[in-house]
Amino acid sequence: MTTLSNRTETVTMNSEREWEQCYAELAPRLVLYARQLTPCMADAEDVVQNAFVRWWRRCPTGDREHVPLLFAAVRTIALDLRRGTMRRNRREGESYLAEEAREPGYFDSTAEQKDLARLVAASMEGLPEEQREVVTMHLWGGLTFAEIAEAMGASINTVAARYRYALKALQRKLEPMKEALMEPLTTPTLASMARPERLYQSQS
Amino acid sequence: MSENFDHMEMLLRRLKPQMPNPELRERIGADLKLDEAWLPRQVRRAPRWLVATGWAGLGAAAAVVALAFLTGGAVERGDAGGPGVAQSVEVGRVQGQGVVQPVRVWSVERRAWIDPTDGAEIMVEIPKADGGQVVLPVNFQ
Repeated sequence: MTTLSNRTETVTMNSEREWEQCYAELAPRLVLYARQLTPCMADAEDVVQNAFVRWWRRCPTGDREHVPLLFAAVRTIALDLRRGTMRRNRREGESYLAEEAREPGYFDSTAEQKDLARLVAASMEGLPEEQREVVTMHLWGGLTFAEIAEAMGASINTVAARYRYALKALQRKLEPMKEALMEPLTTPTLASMARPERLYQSQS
Repeated sequence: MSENFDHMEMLLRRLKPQMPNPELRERIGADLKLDEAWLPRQVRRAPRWLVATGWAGLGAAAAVVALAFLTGGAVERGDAGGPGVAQSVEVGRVQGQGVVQPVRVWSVERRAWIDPTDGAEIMVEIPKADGGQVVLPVNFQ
């Protein structure tokens, strides 16, 4: 029996390393996606915790082909959480999307990319939720349109259209400073241009 | 995507999603530890040599039973028993007369191991053959 228990310990350790590797790769993308559906980082992390644990118990190999399932789980749990919170807040007379609950912090921005990160995050906030979901899953989650369609329960055409609309909208918002953004991001002009408030003013 | 969006995609992909709180990894680790049913299935499997021994034992037991039938000997099977050590006795009458007869006794010893963490069960059957003289009950004569 010693052999069997030793083997069990070895396999457990290997499996732990496997889930940790998988987690390290997927967690930032999942949290970013969950952030699109939840008002704060704490909620997004709770959602990712639940989804990842459920997913890993079901797919302990962490295969790439099962990743869309994980995004689908994040979506389902986030929407459930939101429904529950909205019901509770209605009872308590609070607004779910209270302004103070909204936190920035979508992207891991270095000093040079700080402005770009803030600008993109602010621009993303202005998009409809479905478009934000598609953009997040495709650009930062690495999912194909077919996988996104599966995760969202929509057709591929719908997903592609949402992506197109979202990029058009982002392009409209970022176009005025595109030149500056594409250059090395340390230019002083960028810091003055990258104010989300200015973007919204110019739009309206 | 359309070539119009290439620059935009490139620009957006420069950004990397923010790393989650390190606590999140610990929370997930704790949750996964609570129920280890997700561990790969091979954990429950017995070592290869044990499986081979089990199959060999099973084959030997089957051969002994077949041989007993073919030689026309009477066969009696005891209680198979549950997990733990159980014994079933097969008695083949070789020859003899009277009450005391020379017999060959084939027995199969069953050993079972149960892993309490996941309920995996391994059972091994070890066949044995002994010869000697025993007093047989009347119905065997």
